[in-house]
Amino acid sequence: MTAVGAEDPWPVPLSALEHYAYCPRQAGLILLEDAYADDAATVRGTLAHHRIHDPGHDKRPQVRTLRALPVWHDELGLTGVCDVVEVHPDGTVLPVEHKSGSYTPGGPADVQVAAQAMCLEQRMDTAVPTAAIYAMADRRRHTLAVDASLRERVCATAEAVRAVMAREELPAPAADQRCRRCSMNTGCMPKVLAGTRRYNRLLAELYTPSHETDWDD
Amino acid sequence: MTELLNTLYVQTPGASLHLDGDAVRIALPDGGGPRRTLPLLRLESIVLLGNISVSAPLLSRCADDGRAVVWMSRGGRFRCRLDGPTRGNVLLRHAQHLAHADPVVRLPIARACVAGKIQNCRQVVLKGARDAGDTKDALRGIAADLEDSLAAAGAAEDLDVLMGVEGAAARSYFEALAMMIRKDSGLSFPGRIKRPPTDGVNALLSFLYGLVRSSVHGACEQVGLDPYVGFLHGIRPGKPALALDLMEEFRPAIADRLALTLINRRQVSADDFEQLEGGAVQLTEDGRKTVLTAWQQHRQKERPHPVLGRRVAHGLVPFVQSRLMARTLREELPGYLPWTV
Ligand code: SF4
Repeated sequence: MTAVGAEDPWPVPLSALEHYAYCPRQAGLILLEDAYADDAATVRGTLAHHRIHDPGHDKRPQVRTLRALPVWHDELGLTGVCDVVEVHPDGTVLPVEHKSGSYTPGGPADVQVAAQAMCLEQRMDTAVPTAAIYAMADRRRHTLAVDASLRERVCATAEAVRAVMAREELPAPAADQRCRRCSMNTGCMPKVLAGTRRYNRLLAELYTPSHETDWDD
Repeated sequence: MTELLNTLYVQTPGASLHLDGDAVRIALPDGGGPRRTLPLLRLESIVLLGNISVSAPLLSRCADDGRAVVWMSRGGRFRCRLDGPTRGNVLLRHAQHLAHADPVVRLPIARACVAGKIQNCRQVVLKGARDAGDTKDALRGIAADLEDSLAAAGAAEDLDVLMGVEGAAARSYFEALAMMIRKDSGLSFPGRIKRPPTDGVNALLSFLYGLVRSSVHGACEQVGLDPYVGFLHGIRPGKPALALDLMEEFRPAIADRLALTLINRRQVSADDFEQLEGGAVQLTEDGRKTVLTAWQQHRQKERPHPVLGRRVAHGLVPFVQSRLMARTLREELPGYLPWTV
């Protein structure tokens, strides 16, 4: 993170909005502990990012496709990179975020791509009323309206992320079905943290000789 | 859980390693032996024992990928490691330094490390007693002494007392270890001698401890802990004190047990050691090969992990323990729990 002036809000990475919307702790682990998703699914996702092309634009040569475009928003304090931004002949600007999994309407990706739209509005001095998510699981493009309520969600999430960064403390684990699909699971240890009774019992027994073990070898 | 990838160990003197696309190519001196290449994708780290050279392109590729390259002496003594950039997590390292400086936080962690070691020593001795003939009673007696040491570790009010408890426990445990080596193995254990070992058993132990240490050191770095700031072993330049702390629980249950198995099953015998000019003893090249093969198999073997409540491969336990340490230091867990078998 770069140094910031006193008046500017701390820059929040666009990706952190999505992470926070999925699970606040996930955003905390990435921002505060430099954790990185290291499971096989993520690696596959990264590879897919480079290989698979969204068929949505290739058929329309008049559409200009910008890839890996850095964007930011000064007032909101957002910064990040757009996967793909399409500039259509009529001047319409459309951010397209690529996701390796499937698409959940109203899910975390909506917040991220809406934030991209808001950044693009400022950078390109135009209105961006629509954004899209390309889901590799179903090889489809899902478009969504960047409406007032979604914009509100972007701002609220950015504030929440900033609060996590300022507190320097990890949000509590979700410890629910989200964890099963979460690439941070190994480092996060949601089950251990949620199972405090068991942990405390083991701690209390640490200085008591344990039962004779079975080495099974 | 992070995948258990392989470690490539290279020990043939004069061998050199090169980057070949996405693979590592191993060239033996005089071009001898079969041509060997291994895909880098499957390798977590590369360990070089003795005089092995590595090409600069391979080193920089490993640095980019975050794949550690570790240099060790032929006897298994750790020399150095090359890793990618230090993993961020300055908050964790800061918490670690604060914990080190605060006796109220530091002592319970140090105690836990000693307790983990003594628990596991005791289990190794109890197993020995079960298999023993005429030394059964003596071994049971040492197990009982270790129970006393365990209680004493829990009651230790400062680090000096704790170190004393640990030292006494180690002495009686090594007496037990000597009894657990079968007479017909052709090897015997005169007590722990390091720097350098002057007998086969100590040479084997030193070698295995070196392997354990290197894997614990790597796990600390991966998790973002500073391997050099410890709680039981304080701060001393060049001494990876935290790695040594975390290693205590693994010595008996992983290294010593493997040593006993190798010796008592005669997979390693007196022929596998050589005496150097001046009296130091080390494994021969064949002996090292046997030990490294056994070590790799051992890493894949799973045991139940009490905290996680499921089975975890030996090779991944250092990662789990480093994470528990990290969560403890970030005050997300009420204390460090060592891995007990
Ligand atoms: S494992 Fe669960 S609690 Fe932890 S970051 Fe992922 S979803 Fe959140």
